[in-house]
Amino acid sequence: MQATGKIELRKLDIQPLVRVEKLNVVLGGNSILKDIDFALCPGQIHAITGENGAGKSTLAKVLAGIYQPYSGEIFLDEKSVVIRSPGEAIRHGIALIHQEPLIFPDLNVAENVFVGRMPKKANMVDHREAIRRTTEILQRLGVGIEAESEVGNLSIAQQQMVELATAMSEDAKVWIFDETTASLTSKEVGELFTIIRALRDQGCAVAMVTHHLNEVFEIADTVTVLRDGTKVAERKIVDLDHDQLVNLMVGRDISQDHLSRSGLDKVEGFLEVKNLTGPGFHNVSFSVGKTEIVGIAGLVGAGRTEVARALFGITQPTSGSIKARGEPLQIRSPKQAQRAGFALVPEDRQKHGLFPSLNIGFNTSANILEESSKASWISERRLDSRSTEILDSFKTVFSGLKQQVRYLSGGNQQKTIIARWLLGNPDFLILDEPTRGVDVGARREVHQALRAQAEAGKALMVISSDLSELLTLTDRIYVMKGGTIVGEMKSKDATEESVMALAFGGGSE
Amino acid sequence: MKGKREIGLLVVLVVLIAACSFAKPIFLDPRNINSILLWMPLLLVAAVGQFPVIVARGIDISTGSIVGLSAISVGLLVKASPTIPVPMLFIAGGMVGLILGCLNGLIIAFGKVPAVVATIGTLTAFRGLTFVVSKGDQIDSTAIPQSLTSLANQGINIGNVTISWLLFIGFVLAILAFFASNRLQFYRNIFAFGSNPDAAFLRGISPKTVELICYCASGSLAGVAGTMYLARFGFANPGSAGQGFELIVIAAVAIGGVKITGGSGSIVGVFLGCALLSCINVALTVLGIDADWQLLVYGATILIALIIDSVSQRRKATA
Repeated sequence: MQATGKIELRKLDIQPLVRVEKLNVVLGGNSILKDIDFALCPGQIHAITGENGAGKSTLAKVLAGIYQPYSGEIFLDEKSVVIRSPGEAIRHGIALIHQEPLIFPDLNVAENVFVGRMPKKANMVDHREAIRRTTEILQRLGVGIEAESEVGNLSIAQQQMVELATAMSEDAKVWIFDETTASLTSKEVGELFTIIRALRDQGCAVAMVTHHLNEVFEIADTVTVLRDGTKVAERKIVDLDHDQLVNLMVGRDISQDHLSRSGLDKVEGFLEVKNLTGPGFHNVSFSVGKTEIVGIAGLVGAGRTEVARALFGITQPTSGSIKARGEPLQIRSPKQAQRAGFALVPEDRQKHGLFPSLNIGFNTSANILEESSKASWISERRLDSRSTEILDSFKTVFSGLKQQVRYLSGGNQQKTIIARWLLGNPDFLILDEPTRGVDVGARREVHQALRAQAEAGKALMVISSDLSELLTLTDRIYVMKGGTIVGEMKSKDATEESVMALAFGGGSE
Repeated sequence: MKGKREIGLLVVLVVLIAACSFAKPIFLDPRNINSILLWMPLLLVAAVGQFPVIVARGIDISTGSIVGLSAISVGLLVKASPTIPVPMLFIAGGMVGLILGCLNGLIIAFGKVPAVVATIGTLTAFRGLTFVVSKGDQIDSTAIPQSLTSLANQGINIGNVTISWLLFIGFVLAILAFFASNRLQFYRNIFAFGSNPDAAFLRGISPKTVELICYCASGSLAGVAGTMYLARFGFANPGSAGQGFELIVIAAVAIGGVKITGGSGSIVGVFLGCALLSCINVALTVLGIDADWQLLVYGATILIALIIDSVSQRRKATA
């Protein structure tokens, strides 16, 4: 499929700073990008969007010299070039701002900014000049960071600014932001957008890789939509609305239908928590029934994750009681929690969930090794067939069980982790931000899988900062604030406004 | 933040000297100080070589065998042509070390073999080569010209304390390394690489070049230490020259506050680490600790220093 408006669009605009033509990228034998035509023009913010795994980041990385195209051509100022390494991209004035800030924690800000090309005096590194120039750039960016502070001690947002300062010191003309807002607060995102708009106004070409549609509408002038490695559209933002863009991304209609059941007020009890107090929360009482999905809403830092960690035996509560199946329960370790039939899909899948260097098969079957083995010998065939079955049931996209899990997109990694826990056949499943960084399509598939689990008689507890997720997926919602539960409501009666009102709260703690 | 670590080390060093001289006033006797100072130069030169390797997240365990092979090779050279000028002997030692270090670097940077495994392998292989080259024979003291050995027992006299020419060479190399580590672009790239290798690559720093040069530096300086070994001891045995030395060198670097996981540390710290280890070593004798116990106490001291360091680092990280 080719974008129809593309040719005339280009005629109207000024000559692009960067352009790719018939770009094909093959990684690990998989074709990731197919016949992509794409251009970035000065004074424009161009969003690149699509579902996870659509090839957005790959396109960014090709321009930054990290991946080499299999075929196709790259033009800078309409001259054909080959970008062999990240260093060459930098010399061409192309800067890639990564999702995780690319920093050197042990070095100071000035050395980070001028890494590999410190200012020199008589061939010797001139630290004073580096600090002077860095301070100047930081002032221009309007951020209050000292050029001499060690970067490892800065916040993520500040580290992001150090990366921007680096690109600025390189006099970058082409700026590519790869999901840069993922780890920033909304206030920090606002500050970043101010800087991005300033870059555009100075005549830089800006590309924003994102799957946040509101960001696309807020900041971009043009959007390119990728799906399964092909370009499905390039449009002016003014010609699009939200639903049209979603349809372009997903290629199928996604209506915001409600997944939770109506009626059925009486459920059989499973988990009963009374006056639980522990690190980060106090006097927390709630219940989760079989066939029920209970949501926990609240702001970051309200104590939601802390409750989940205590339920899973990672931390120990100091007082209060936990009952499961009517029996009092003491959980001292994750192993005991698992034996009690609990499962936790953690918030940070890279750090607490995945074994990134191991293959998909191992990642999926890690929890059922014992039950699938005879006299300590693991039956690999049995494991593989069970893994494949459950991964397929979630529509996980992967090339084979032997593929390393780190090469999967975020949504498919998340499906792998959920699959792992479901294979263990838990009675009670805790999910902390189950669809963070997961695209629209995969999100819906995850939701359907969770709903199916509840219908099969399991108890589920979903912690989420995404209110529409809580409202569509869960049956009941508890709202936490300041370490304790401040409200409970039926999802079908709740609105985003009523939940937020409780989460922000007023009056007493 | 910076320099705190070095000040801490200096305090420990001063306290150790004060405590020892209070317990045994003989500790400050010039003869005793001289033996501390004799201990230092080899350690210092090899540690200055090990430093960039560890900053770049590597480790060079073959140091002891490079010292041995260099000492034997230089010994054979001087035996064959006794009139060769002394500076040439240092250059020869450095060249032997450079070749061996380059081999380490090639295996690690291009063969993608983990540094620990690669240099344990070359530790054995280089020691074996020492026996082959020497045909198992010791280089006797009769073969070593006085012009070389005098570097260890003559020097700049301050009262009864002698700063030997060897120590002087060690100081000069350490000072050069100090300036290089702060002011050379390439040396700063080593720090960047050690702090975050992926980011360094994406910023246009070649990981292969960094690793290759680090092991070449470590090898060359271990080679120079080999010539110093010959000067100090006046003989070289293919089996024992430099044997086990690598662990003391790595310990000195680690005690000197160089992060063993890479990216951070300073030459000043390395210098203080070497001074501290030399003092502890001599203190054990002076304090009259039974010879059978010395090695155990020495090892325990190193471990305690490293544990204190690791705990205080973790405190800092969680604070």
